[in-house]
Amino acid sequence: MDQKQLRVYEDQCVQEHAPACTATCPLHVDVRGFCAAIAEGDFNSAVKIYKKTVPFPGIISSLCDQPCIAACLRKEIGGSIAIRSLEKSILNFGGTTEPPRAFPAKPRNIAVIGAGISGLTAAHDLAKKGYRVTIFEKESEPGGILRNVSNQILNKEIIRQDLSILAVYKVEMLLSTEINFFRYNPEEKLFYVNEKPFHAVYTGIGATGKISSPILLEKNQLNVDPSTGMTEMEGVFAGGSLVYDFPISHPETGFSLSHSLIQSMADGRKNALSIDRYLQNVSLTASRVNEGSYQTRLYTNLKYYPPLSMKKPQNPDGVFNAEEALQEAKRCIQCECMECVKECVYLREYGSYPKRYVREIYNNLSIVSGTRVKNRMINSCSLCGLCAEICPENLDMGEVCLGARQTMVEQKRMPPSAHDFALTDLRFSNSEHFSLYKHQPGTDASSLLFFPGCQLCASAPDYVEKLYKLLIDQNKHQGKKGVGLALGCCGAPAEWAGQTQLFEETQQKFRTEYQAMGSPMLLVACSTCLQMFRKNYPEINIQSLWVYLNEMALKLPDLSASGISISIHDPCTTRHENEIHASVRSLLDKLGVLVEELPLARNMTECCGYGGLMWLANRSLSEKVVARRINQNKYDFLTYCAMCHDFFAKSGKPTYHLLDFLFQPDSLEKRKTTKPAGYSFRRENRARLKSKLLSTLWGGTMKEPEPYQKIQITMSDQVRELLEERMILDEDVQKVIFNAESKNNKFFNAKNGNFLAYYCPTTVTFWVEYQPQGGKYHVVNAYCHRMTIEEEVQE
Amino acid sequence: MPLTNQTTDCFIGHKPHPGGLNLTQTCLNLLALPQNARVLDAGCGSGQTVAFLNQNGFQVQGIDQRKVFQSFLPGSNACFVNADWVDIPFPDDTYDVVFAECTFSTIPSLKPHLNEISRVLKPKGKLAFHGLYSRIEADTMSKLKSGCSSLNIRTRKQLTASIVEAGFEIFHWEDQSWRLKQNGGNLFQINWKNNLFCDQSEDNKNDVFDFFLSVAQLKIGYYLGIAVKGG
Amino acid sequence: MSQYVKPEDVENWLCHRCQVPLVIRPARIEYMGNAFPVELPRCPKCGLVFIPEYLALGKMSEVEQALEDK
Repeated sequence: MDQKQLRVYEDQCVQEHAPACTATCPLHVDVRGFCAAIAEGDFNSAVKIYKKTVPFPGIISSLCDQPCIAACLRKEIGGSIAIRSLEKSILNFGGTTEPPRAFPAKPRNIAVIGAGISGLTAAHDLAKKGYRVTIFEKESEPGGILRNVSNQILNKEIIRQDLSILAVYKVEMLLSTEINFFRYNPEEKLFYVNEKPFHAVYTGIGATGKISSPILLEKNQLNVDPSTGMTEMEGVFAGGSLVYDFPISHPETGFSLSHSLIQSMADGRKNALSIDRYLQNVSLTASRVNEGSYQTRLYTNLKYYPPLSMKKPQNPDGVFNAEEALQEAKRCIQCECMECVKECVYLREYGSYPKRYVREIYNNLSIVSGTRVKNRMINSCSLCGLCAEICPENLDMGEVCLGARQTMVEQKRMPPSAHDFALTDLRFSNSEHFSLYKHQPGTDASSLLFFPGCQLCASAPDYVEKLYKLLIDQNKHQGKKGVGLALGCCGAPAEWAGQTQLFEETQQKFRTEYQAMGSPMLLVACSTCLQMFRKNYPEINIQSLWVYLNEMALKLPDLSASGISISIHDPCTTRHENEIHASVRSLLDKLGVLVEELPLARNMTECCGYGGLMWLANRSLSEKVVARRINQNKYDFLTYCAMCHDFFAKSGKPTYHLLDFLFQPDSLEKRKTTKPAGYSFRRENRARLKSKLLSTLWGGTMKEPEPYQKIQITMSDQVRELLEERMILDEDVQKVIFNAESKNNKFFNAKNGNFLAYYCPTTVTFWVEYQPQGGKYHVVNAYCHRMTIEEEVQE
Repeated sequence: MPLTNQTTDCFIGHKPHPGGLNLTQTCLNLLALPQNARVLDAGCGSGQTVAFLNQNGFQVQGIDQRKVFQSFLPGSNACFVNADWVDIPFPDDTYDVVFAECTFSTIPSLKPHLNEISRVLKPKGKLAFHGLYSRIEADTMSKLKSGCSSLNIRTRKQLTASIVEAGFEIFHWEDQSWRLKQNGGNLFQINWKNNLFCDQSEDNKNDVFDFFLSVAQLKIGYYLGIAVKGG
Repeated sequence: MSQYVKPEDVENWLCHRCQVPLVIRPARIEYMGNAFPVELPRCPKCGLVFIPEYLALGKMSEVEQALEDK
């Protein structure tokens, strides 16, 4: 992930975008923020939030035309929030605030012509920045169109109070002052307005000023750049209703103003910024995004919010009391996205959201060393792609994490313990202990090649045998070409671990064997294998076993009388495989099994925790993931992936594998509650499967067993569980004991008669405490560590 | 003494020096010294930097507490003196530059050392310094059980405070932590033998793992800085 | 005295090959290019190193994780 890619990812996550109200408001008032404060009864904080953006709060809270409420998402579910009324209540119940201090004085003078709302706002903003501002107003009162508003609708006292801030910022207000002199001196670069010198001029003289403006007398019209307020006269800026025409009707009182106050204010603010930049000689246009009203990219899902209408205030004038304001503020749904976080346990785990996560991951990759927390976070994602489905902008955190893992591997910073166990397992599956590529017995060509995958062979080797026989049977009419069998691992653990090189090597080995067999159609039982082959070998002719079975004219048992009803857990790697989803449901329909769909099914399915090696990198997280899934409803689960099945079954949820219905329809009760095989048995199952098939079908033999395999071990159930927990395999134990016994490399405890020994086969050092019992070895304890012991052992 | 080409990593006598002459060159680039400038290498070890600086045309001396160098470089004006850096045997206002390469983290108290450096520097003379530092908060460091009798590694804040206190102004600081990666994380190893940033008493030689874990928490990085003597 | 191993462990175990009790001696423990000179119970004759479970799963595991983190 380089800087450019980082920005692309960050841009995809819209969580930090403004809610609709703020975006639509030309001034971008933080409505959501003050609603949250009011909802807590904290009017003081609400005042601070409001006044931070709005310089004349009394005027605006009385007369704002509220473009925000048309955009408010609450509109569809009970009616927009009464935003302006809440603003009024903020001023009524919030305390007084000190105006923020002005910046240090700058030796620059600015003339503001016209004390309408845009001019007043421009004057406020510039004076606050330290400039010396003089307002020239031809009338005896400031306010522009506000002067004509009756006292009832807007009390003159409120106007006076609002405008008092100008005096605090030392704005010189010249009322009843016409402009009778206006000249520009190009050598001094100064404007002389009524004898006073100025460095810049803002004219916000309102629509009525069109004819009488002395500036305009020089020309017939003024061309204004709408994004900056610049005119063709350098140093002269124009805005407000002189430039724009937005008459507005006040929604509540029906009172009309000839122009939108908030729009004029925003315009004044925009011009103030332009003047500030102009006087500092910096770009007027750089980094000016989202000035004025715009459409937000923030997405908020309304399905979580039941409709709720506003409670009308008791006061006949429609003014809220404090309690009513609080209730109304609570109606604000506090717009945010967080869609992916709402559904994904992993994204919730770290307390933030994708935009931040992406930045943290980028930083983690860039600094000299990663921290354990971030390394684990990168390795904990299941890569299932659900977030991309849910995200309105399709951001795929799996893509981010996988890329990060690949970078870590390249930089040689991937902690070995994160994935070691799975990668060792991969190597085992592709070693001579399990690897097999054979044409159907009695043939030398295959029209179909069955690839059951390493995990199904580990979990249910008897099903693999049965499937192979079934496929051979159903293909009898194919003539000389038969159904071949390929045993091995597709390399998914390497891909997930970011070990690109190992993955490619694995795929290459497969490709060589596959092509040597004539590139028949590959029939895969595992949807992860399907994904891996498709991704790495797009030209491959590949089909899912489940689609194939559905198309076959199979004699299926009729389970309709049993009344079995289940929920389908679609494995996460079938996310975009609509055909597989449909085939599985069709098979279940033929079987007469009732289906109650899970809320997150098909393309919205969740990962069981096996994906991305989450279970290995972050066991506690994977347990949370399983717990959440199995509690989504009370139905027994059915799945068609060996690992999904095993993960749910291990945690106690009654789970069927689809093949149970095919091959063991008479012992379904037992099947759904059988605990799956532990790590040691999984390896053994694979090796035994190959050995059995090799001898029974092809008359071949396996290699002689290794000497250590002759060591017979026993252990209590508790010790068996402990070894499972610590991921110590029987073969590891056998190797230690073999080394200890054959070389007499062991310790002896006279008190209990136990022996203790250690051995390091490749990377991990295993320790076993045991007692010889009648030719066998009873294992009492076992543990391991990754540090290696360098010692000189003299024989 | 044959000069090697700039190496990325070299061990000078008893003292490891990540970055080798590359860092010295980086300092030279930042210092922009005139020819014949007078330079002192404080803590010169076996003298590789002195030889390198001499080759670059400067008038160099090197001092070190341990006598691990030849007394002089044949055919040059460079010389080595076996001296303590809190008592530099040269007059005031002698040097244009003093180099302190990877030395600050070995010293329990910087003040007398910095004062001496300041003394022998000409007014507006420069101090080129690089070394190990800790990237954690100072108060976190004091809470660490280091398994050392004295932990001499400092945070950036602590270092700059000491240097400023001695009358210097730091006008350049850069992080060079990436150089430590080349070492393969062997800092722990090196300190174990050489008291690089922590003195170890005999009786806590047993706490190897604890010491290592504390070191790991220190987030050790590498910095390079140039300071100028005020006045 | 090694602070990483309890005395009773040293007392109860002996090297089976050499039939002698264990003594605390330096041993070199390595991981990811870092070597640690740790004082551990060892057979004085053949040098076999004794590491109890609590050390392997405790301090050593901590150090392994800290190293992997770099």
